[in-house]
Amino acid sequence: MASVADLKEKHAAATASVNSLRERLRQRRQLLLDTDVERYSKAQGRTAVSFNQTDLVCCRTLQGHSGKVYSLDWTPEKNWIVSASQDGRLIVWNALTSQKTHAIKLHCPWVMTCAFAPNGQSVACGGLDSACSIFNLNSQVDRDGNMPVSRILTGHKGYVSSCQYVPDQETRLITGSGDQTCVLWDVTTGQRISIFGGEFPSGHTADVLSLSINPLNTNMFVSGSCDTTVRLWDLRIASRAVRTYHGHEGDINSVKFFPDGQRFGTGSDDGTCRLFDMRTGHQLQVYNREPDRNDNELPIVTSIAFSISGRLLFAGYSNGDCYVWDTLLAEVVLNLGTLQNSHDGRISCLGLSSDGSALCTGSWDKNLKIWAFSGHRKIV
Amino acid sequence: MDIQCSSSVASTDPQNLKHAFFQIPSLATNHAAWLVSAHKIRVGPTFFPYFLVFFSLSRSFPSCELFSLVLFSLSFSSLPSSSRRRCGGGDVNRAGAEDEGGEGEPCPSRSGGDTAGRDSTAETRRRGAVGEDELQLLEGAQPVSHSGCLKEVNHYVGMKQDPLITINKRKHRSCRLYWWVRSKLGVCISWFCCSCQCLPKCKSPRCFNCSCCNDESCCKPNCSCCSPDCSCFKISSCCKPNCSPFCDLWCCKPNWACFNTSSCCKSQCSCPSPNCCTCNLPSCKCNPCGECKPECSSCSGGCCDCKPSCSCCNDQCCSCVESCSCSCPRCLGCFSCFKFLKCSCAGCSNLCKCSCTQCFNCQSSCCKGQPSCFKCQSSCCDEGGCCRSTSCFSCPEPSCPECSCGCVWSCKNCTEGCRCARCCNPCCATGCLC
Repeated sequence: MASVADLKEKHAAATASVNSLRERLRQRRQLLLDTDVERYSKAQGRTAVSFNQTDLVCCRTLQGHSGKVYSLDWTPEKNWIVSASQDGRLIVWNALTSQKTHAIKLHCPWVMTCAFAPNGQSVACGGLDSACSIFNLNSQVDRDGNMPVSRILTGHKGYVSSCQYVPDQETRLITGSGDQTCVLWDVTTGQRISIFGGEFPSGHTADVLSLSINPLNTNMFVSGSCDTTVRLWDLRIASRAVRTYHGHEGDINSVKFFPDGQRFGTGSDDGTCRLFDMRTGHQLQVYNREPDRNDNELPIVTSIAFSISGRLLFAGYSNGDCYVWDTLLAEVVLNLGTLQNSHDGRISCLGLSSDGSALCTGSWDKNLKIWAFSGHRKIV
Repeated sequence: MDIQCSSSVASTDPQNLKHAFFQIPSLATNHAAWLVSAHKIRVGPTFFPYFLVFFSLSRSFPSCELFSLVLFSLSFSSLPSSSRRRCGGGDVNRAGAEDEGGEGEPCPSRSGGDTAGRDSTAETRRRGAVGEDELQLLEGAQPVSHSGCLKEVNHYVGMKQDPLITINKRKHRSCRLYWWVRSKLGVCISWFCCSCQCLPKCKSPRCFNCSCCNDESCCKPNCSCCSPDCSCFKISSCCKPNCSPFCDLWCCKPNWACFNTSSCCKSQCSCPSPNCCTCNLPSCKCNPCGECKPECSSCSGGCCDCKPSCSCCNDQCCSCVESCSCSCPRCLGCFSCFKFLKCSCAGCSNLCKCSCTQCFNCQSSCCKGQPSCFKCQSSCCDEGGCCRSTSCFSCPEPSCPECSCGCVWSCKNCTEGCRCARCCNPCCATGCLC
């Protein structure tokens, strides 16, 4: 049996080898980044999107939560939103009329994520109870006025940080967890179909905080983690990540696929958003905000979303800013946080409606807000 | 954990190992162990997270055999033969072993102290192997400029109309000239940059006179240039150990030892008892929905997770306040709205009542007689039907008046959105004109 000293020596040697390898990898990646989207677009003569102060306005404020809003999701078809809050409730809203259609009291109030099923009939949520609960919105409430849970998906060994239904499949759901894994579930049976990560060599090495399913190829999804990487997974092959994407220097709080399904964006604790190419692994663009004049720490990016054309990247920050980035020119074209009726606290989540006509932001100020184009549009 | 061996495996073939089956009687139920794959082994419902697995036997079963399965990482992918060995009592019998020469190995310790060290090294080597694979992948990769990605992005973005971007926009054709000139100059001269409305705003103009700074992010307010290796200028939250004196040491994350995940380690994060805090939240609070570890005798304020020491906290109504007294919280709004929402806590004499102020869940018992109760809303109708007056009908396909296209959200009277079949833009189905 090897002595402790021998083991320590071997471990130190292995660690030094890995660190050297990491540095070589970093340098090699840096060499490949000889240009970016901004430089290319400027060379093509692109001009930045311009917004007047009244173009994008807050046209609805959804009030009703009594705690911080942590997560939201739109229905694929109707303009309904489900939101999850620290008050221990899910609320389903008709975003057009601002009315609440359902209020679901949760067994565990510490909810971190929620999602709408593709048919809009069910919602899922997860949090510190390390489980994902499914509610059927057509269920009858019980005598106490509580909606019964339809299914509880248990198996994670850590908190459930993110969840998303596989598009066009009401029976399949993917969750991301603090146990460093993602899981594909069969909602009807409650069984785990596949586990991504964990013991397998190419899994995340820290908490998974976010995930996004490719809208054009629903067999692929990406997960963002506290290990500062994003990993691409194939639902059919759980044993190994297809690819790992490096670049960020902090926890990756949000990942979202670009509308073309070939790129994806990320938002991180390092204060930047980035655009990666799925196939090549290249970091195509860094969206780096200006440092604060007072030299305060950079606010972290909590959530991101792309407009349906991909031209705009919406990024919510911990200081209440909601930047609208021109993705091609890497410029901030608008800050929703400075507009009238903006949020009073951290933007914790945001999402675009399925038709791309409205953005919903959720905040620690307990409200959700709908932002849309207010100018007159005439179709020629 | 005592093991009764029911079969032996005498092959190095991972496929055969997969079908090996071991009975492991436990106190409560018999757990079965089998090799699921070449990379992990599963015992009962639990996965062993490490690659190094020993089964040790109790001395009370001197006739039991030891199965030792030593699994190395994927990079090495060598699975030495498993052998049947006897241990306990010092009588080692290597019957059935295949190829090893040498002496029999002693039974592994149950404490697993050395095992943890080997596991850590194996994990590090595994990561190294994954890194080697990635390095090979990068060796053959093309730089970004040659990959075609940028062209694809630019092309895609121009294809689709975006409802959030104004469509009537004057294009400054003369801007193309300014862009071309600027690109040829290679530097941004402030007067040239800022005079033309075509060009983007000048960023950090103070850096334009700083010739040594090629990257804007390197420019500090006093325009001193920093070492290009000092990446902490971009991110203040973590200092690299070899960072030059320009970096402040305070930016390094403290207290790494307590936590497993970096997200927990913020500068203000401290746990009174490492076992109590699971460090699942970035703010490093105690996990209220989890269970307190047996070692956790006290939790910091507000942590109702420690049930053994805070017995009154068995209901969401109760909160552990200092000496664990219970109080009724403020009543939240009447979401279900057909009965009063009550809060009751053990020891609380007052019941918390609230009145029905908003009724949206359409049931027959919903706020009868109350003016705020809408008897029929579309959400009341089954199968997604539509509500007209007091009855539910199947919803007609909404038509999209052309002139109302695009004004879904800006129109306060719009209650239902649709997609215009002709122009594919979002429209207001109720014909709201803007």
